[in-house]
Amino acid sequence: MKAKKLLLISLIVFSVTLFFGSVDLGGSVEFNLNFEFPEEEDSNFYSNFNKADLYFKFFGDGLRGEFNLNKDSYDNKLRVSSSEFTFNLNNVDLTTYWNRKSVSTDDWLKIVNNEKVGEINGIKVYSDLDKFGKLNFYAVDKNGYFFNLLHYRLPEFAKINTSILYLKDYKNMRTPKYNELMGFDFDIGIFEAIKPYGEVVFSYQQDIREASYNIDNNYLLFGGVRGKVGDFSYNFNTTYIADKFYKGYSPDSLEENIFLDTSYKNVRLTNKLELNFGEDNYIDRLRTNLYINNFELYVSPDFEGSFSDFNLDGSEMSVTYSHNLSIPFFTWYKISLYKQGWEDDWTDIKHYKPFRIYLEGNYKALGFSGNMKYIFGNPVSDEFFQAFGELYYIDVSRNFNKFSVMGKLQYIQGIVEKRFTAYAEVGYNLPNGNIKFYVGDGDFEKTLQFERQIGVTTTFYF
Amino acid sequence: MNLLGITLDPGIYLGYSKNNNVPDIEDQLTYDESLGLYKITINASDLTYSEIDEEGTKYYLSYYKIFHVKDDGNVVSSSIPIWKDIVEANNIETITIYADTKKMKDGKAVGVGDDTKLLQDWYFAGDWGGKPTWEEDAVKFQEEDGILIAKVQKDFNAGDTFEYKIKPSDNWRPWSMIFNAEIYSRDSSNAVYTLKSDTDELTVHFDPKISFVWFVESEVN
Repeated sequence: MKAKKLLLISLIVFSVTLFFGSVDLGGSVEFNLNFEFPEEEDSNFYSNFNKADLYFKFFGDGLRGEFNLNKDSYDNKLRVSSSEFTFNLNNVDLTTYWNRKSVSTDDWLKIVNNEKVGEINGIKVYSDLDKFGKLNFYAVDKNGYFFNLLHYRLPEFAKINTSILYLKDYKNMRTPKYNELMGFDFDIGIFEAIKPYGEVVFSYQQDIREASYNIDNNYLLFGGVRGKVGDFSYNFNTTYIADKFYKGYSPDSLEENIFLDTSYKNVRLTNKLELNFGEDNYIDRLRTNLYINNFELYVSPDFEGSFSDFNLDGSEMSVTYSHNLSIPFFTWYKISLYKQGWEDDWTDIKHYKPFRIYLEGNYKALGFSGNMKYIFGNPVSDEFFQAFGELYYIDVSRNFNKFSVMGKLQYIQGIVEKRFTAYAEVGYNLPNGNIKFYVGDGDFEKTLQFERQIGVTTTFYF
Repeated sequence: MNLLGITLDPGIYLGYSKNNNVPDIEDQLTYDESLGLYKITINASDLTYSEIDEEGTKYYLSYYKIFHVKDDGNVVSSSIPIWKDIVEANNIETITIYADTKKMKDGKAVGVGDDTKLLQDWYFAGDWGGKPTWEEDAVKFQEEDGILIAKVQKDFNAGDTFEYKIKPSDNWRPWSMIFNAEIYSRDSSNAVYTLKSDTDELTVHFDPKISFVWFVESEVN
């Protein structure tokens, strides 16, 4: 056992030496250490170093790679949490993955989504066959499932682009369910004014014991046409998804809709009708955006099933205008107004249905530059402050020779509650990298209240 | 400084879609001695839902918060979502919202919750050694007398720490309802638990009616 281990370690050391010795490498190493001040006094000092991450990236002739070392939250040991290495050999790229979210396709609908597939271990072969097209093939392990994906893009022929894809996963006889997906997409670019395009996908789950290959209602149709005539361009498409189409690996944004985008010079109009096709089509809502230079108008009528069920209270509208300035201090501003529904009585703003006034500006003075924001609304934000209030935000940054400093503040005033947070960082540039100290958490949408933490991040290039 | 000169007399108030997040006297919670909690019952039909677009998939959530107004500093919970799908699937007509003022923390959901949260499946996911259960094999909570229970069997040592989160469904959706033992949010950091003793079974208790999580370490014989 010991001899085996020793042999393995020697083999690793040998290959790493060979690997790094034989190629001219460039790359970077980034190290982050974070310390959180404990709320409870009895918590142990070491465990408050809640993050210790090392990112290692390199590239050389014929290969590139990256891996992360993280402090494991359970036993506090540093281990490789994910890695990716690519070897280039003539027309073939071989990539190995360890705990990476990296499986995706580039068909029209991007029907295989890396977030949905999740983290995988395995390999990808990409080969550029020149006159014979391009091929991507994945053979990976996904949580105990053997997962295969083949995406073959055929060579362009008379301005016609096509690709086919095939996916299959399988676990074992104890979990005899497997998923299969087959797709075909095309793009016909012969005529500039009329370019048809589309995609057909079958996707279903099967039980290996039945193997009935029942593919009724397991399909999706996507198709449209786009084109350009002088200054006018358009794009029209429809997505139809049959009832039993298996969406397990597809993007969550895949929904039925009818879409029309037209533009003429600086004017662009997009319309998206969100609906569910069926015997009785269920019309959800229309989203219309009109862009004219720096001006944007958004109107979204809410239909609860059909056009005649128009619901004013759920309908939305906003106007946005932004502009660059050439006056001292202010360099840019944006103003936006949003309202949902209509009020019977506009006298008491406290009882309005959702509304928002948004002001933002960039400034520059005495070597400092930054951004500021003011929002007044109910709710202030759909994401992070679902209540009536005001938000004030300002950031400032400046570079002094090799130093860079940045600070930002946010204050939210609710009806009775107050939320304040701040973040600051100082960076110093070294000949081959940089070092950065910080206080607080810079992601203000995540933490509305100041985070008692400090940290340091160093980056070295070689 | 008060927004638009809004003032509230000391008390415990509910801000929600019906009162446009601005509570008044009729939105006060009352104390229930048998439960030891403050509570208020509202009509589900009075709620309006916000459409939350989570990278293309839309969820309909109605947010509320509890204002504990008092002379020595107000305590206001974070915004807490009610999921329309759960209300509709169970034909809910009234919803009771609870507050435990002793547990409430400013800016957190802790100490505040409602009875719709017992009607959905919650999962305990984390990394307590071995294969992390973030994506698969998260432990599904089981209800026992209104409290949700999840058991983790493993040889733990005192001082071990691990990260966890409570998932609102097997696939994390809606992200806006992910609970990290403090707030319901799509991008909060993981919660951390530190073992107090050597044990081979850790029981996680989650009381969604007041968004409160606690742990019991079984004694090793």
